[in-house]
Amino acid sequence: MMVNRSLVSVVDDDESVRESLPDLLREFGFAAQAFASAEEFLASDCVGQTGCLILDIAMPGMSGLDLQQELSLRRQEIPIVFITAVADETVRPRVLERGAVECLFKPFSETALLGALKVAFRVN
Amino acid sequence: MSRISDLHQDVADLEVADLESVISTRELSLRPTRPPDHASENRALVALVEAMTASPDDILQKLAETALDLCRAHSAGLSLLDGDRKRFRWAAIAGRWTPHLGGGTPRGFGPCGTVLDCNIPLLFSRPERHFKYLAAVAPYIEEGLLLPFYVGGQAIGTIWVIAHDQSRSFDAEDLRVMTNLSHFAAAVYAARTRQVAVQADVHSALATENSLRGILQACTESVVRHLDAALARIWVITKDKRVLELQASAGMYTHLDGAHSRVPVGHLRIGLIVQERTPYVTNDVVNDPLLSDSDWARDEGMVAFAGYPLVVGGQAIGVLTMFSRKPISRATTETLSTIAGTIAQGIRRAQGEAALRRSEAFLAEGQRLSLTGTFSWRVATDEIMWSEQVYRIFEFDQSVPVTLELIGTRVHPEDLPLMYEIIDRARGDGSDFEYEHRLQMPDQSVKYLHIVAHGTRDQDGRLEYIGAVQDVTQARLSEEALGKARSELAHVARVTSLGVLTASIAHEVNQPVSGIVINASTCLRMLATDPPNVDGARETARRMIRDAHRASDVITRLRGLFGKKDARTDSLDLNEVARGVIAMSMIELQRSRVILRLELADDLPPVTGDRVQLQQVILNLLLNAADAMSGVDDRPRQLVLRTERDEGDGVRLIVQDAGVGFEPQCVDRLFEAFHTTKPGGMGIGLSVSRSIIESHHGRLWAAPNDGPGATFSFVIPRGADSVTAHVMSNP
Repeated sequence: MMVNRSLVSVVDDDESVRESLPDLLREFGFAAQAFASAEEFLASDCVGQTGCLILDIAMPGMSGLDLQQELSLRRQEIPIVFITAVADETVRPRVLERGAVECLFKPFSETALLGALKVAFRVN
Repeated sequence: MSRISDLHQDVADLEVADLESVISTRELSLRPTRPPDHASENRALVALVEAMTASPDDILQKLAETALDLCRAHSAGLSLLDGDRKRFRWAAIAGRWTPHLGGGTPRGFGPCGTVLDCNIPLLFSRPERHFKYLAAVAPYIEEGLLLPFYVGGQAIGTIWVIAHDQSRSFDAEDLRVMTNLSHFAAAVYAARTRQVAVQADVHSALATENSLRGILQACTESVVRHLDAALARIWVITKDKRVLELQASAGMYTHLDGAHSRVPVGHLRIGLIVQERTPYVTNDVVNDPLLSDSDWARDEGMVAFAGYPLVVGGQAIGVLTMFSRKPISRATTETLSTIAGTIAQGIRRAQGEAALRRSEAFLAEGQRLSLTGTFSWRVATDEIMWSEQVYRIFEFDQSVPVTLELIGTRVHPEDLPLMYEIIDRARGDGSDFEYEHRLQMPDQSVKYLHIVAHGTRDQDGRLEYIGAVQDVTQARLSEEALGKARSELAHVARVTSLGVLTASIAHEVNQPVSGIVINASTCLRMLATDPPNVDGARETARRMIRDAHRASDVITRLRGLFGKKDARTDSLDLNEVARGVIAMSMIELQRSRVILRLELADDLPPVTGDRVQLQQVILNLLLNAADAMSGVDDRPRQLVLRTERDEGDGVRLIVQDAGVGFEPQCVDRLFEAFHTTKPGGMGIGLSVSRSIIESHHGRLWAAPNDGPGATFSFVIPRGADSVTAHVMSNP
């Protein structure tokens, strides 16, 4: 099965991110899909096609970290770029250690996002 | 007088006559006898008995006078053997020999001795012929009739009548009268001796016995020994005055338990004696059912009973009783009556002493256990008295005189200013004081003392403090450990809650802001394409505006969180609000060794406001003031909280400290959020406080003191009928 390498999936409970980020990603040249929750993402048929996952950490229900663990259990090794609105410096090393590509604090710059995506796709 | 010396001379020249030649007893029966005068005799004896109860100490003298009277003698008297039985003392004399009262004759050589030796009445004629020393005693003895008297088989003395010239010679009638009198004298003497002995025993028991029971037991034993009692007992009334408890028993029974150990007042004879406060004497014990079992009385041969209430201050506090196998004489009842009064007083005194000893012991023990001592301080003279426990607390020897200087040597150097401040203030206004300070002991250990004192003035207006000193070291050390833990916890909580608050603020704001940033990036890219994607750019710009509004909404929501919704408007007494805060923060202030002075105006109008918010402001000001003084050791950490009526209708609250203060140019920055001068401070207290006061339409400001420290004040107008939410509007 061919993997559409250019698909970037966005999982965030915040609507403004879900609205704005896919547009920017498309401007970058990626295909983009937005999901309001981890559960919604897992239930979609995008899981296998996603080349990079931009994932919010703090969400109601399943958190970003829970999703990371779930994907790992399913052996879906999707590069993950975490994004978070909580300025907690301790969270970054924690998620990097568990295999995330990057952890960006909202609001993040276009440059920082592009850098992270480059790493994600190079890794993969 | 010439006559005595002449006589003496005559006698000295005379040969000593035989004893036989001076005794002429036989003549009594040979002489014509005058008729007996029974009426006079009876009257005289009745008078004697009266005298014996009325004035027992004079009874011997009365006896002498009676003998003089009845025998129409020229002199009459009683000679009693001295304690060592070597001399007769003329114990009572009536008639012409009265001046010789207290004189006497040797036991072995004198008419009295002869009478006792022969144990019969003797009539002497001119006895100085044999007993030469009598020649010196004037007037001389023409005739002397002497009778022995014995008590309990023991010779006690003689009773005698004398004729000094031949105008009177004694006859058989005189012998009869004197024989009666000698019997009477013996009985009187015996009774008197018993009375004296019992009274002496009672007094001695009161003086030497330590316990009440010891006293009472000695008294009952004396009654048995001297008053022919078969059984003597004492009951004492209980505190509730309902029951008599047997406290002493001597004679045939000495146990204190058994059937009559507790007798209700009003029951049986003894209960009635106490209830009616009236003595009861009977010589017919067997027929008194209230007294005893008649079988018992018959079997034991009991004849008589006497019971005397022990009355002191008009109250019967017990009963003294005796049973006897012989009828009880009047002398005995008199004795019982006398000692009952003495015993009653003894009981009352012993009870009082016991109560005093007990309360003293309680006090000392209480002071020891509670680690609390008492002191007094006369302000004018600086005389200080300490209880034992205060000496123990200060670890001074009790022989050391206490002075303020001496106390100063133990007070912790950091607390000396506090102590002098308190002393100065006490000297000034005499108001009560309560404070805590530390002692630094010679081994460098530290004690914490809590001191409370009440100032009183004597009738001359001199001020004296009476106070208590409690060693609260243990409590304070645990409290301090607890306080430290608590403030650490509070600090953590404060940091944590603020961290959580900022995180949630950041989260709420960052979401829309990141949307704006992303949209802006997208927008720029869309406009940078050729041709520009104007529609897409317009859409992203619209989203940016929406997200910016969302961010603004977050701020508004946060304001609401602190604002109107929670503010209540009540009519408040600012003094009462302040007192509530002080009650909450007292421990903290004491721990910081702050001396709080309250100057609350009593004419404060009520204000409208939110109690909790105003409490927060006052608490904040107090704790800030305490913090500002935490490093102050060279002056009292004095904190003044004052309320007063503001011009117009407002009220003003002022918190003045003696702390580090601040530079005047910094005054504006004080109220900025996140501005702090304290290492542990967050810098939001004053800004929140100002917001709260402004929401009450008031003002909060600060000013440096002329001396050390700073003063924070706020004013709230009266009757602000609504509290609006300006809180958090400053940051």
